[in-house]
Amino acid sequence: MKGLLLKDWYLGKKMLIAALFIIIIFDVAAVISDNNFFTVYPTVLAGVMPVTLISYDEKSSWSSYSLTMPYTRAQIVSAKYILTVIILAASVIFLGIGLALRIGISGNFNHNNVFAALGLIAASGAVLPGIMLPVIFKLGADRGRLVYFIIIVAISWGLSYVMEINERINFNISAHTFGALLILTSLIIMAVSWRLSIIFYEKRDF
Amino acid sequence: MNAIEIKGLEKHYKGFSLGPVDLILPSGCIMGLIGENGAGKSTIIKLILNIAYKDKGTINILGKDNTQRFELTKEDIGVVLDEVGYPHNMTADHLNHVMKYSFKNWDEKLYYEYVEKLEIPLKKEFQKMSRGMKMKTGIACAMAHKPKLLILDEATSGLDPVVRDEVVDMFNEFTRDENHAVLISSHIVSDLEKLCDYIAFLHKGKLILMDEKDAIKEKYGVIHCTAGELEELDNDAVLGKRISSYGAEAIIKRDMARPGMEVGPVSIEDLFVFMVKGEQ
Repeated sequence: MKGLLLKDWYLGKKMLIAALFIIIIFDVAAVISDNNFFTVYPTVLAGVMPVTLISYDEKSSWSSYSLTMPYTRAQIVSAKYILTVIILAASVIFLGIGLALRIGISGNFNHNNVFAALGLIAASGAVLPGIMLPVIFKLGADRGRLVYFIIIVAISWGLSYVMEINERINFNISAHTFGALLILTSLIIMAVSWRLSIIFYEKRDF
Repeated sequence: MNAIEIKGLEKHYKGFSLGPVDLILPSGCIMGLIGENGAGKSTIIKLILNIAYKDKGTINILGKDNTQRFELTKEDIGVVLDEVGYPHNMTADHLNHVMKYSFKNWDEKLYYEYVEKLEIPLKKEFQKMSRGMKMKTGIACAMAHKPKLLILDEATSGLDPVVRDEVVDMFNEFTRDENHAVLISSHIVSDLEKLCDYIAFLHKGKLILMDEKDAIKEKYGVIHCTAGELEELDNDAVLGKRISSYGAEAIIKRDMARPGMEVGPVSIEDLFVFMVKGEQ
């Protein structure tokens, strides 16, 4: 699988280096400003990078060629997930450091709050590739993107509904539990997504 | 051992059906898969490599079913697809590194020998290469992990005549080892005529002829006669004919020719064109 990861590195090197710069710039912005957008956006950006790499693969017919190499379809899918996890982990670590600094500078450092924020960052980064990758492995990048937009609309609608219920019932959970729940959710999303992608890709005809 | 053994292979798409196809490629031989565009050549290759899944039939590659642990068998198969398929920004140097970590038998030294022989630029991005250069890169990669079977889909198209000749020599050299075999598809029949031991004709998804090239040349021949003389021949004797106001030309089975009839040698290209086009 090392060969597949190396190929993705060569293919996405410029994009990954650019993303690293964006993460650092946003990280600095997150430290000096109070806006959570700077914290969450780079992770979301990092999460969709593997999807972009898959669309490059399809465009160059690498998707077909890689099936002639001594790999199983599960290994080809797994290489993309390993890459996703590496990118997301790097992004979360960078932003986590920035976030800790921000909270520290403001004088309200609380490890529970940092943990909760990290959970939020990890979940927001995992949810996009978690949904998109199985769809793209099943339908291909072009058709998959269309389905992705439909799913995003459905999720946004679903979330607003959940928030409405939350306001009415007023769940009272600690920041630590909230963070743990979000990290657990992102792990479950990635695990289910990984398995589904393998099932879909093993059945796909080129 | 047979390098490829296909029995009762079928694949159905909307508007196109392949098969049933029975095909055997013995080790030590080169087989040319000939057919017009859309005849099903690439489909057969995709089915052999499990890029697409068959609806019916069995495929054995190098003695193993291609649905069982095929990732291990693929160590011994070198492939060049019609589109080659390398990422746009990769160079021949990058490919060496990727392949080195993918194929157990990757021979870096051999790869660079092919790169030098075929004059492939090491640092040029794949997207900036000509079609011929892309094909040459594909051929170097396909051969540098010392495969036992080469599968080439339109791999000689886009090459200039000098390089084509060089590549043909490489394939001939490759099959000197009796454990090696080549399956090559092309719609440029003259390429395959020079290169192949076996010829398989595909037309509209059906395998209409498969035999040794020399046997084909022995079995079939071309006649020039009048339309009336052609009529006298048994229908089964005629594979294809062309009738004009100047007379008739037909490809026939030599053993069914009438006594005294002059039967000339037929080229594989003519045989294919006549068989596909039939009567004009």
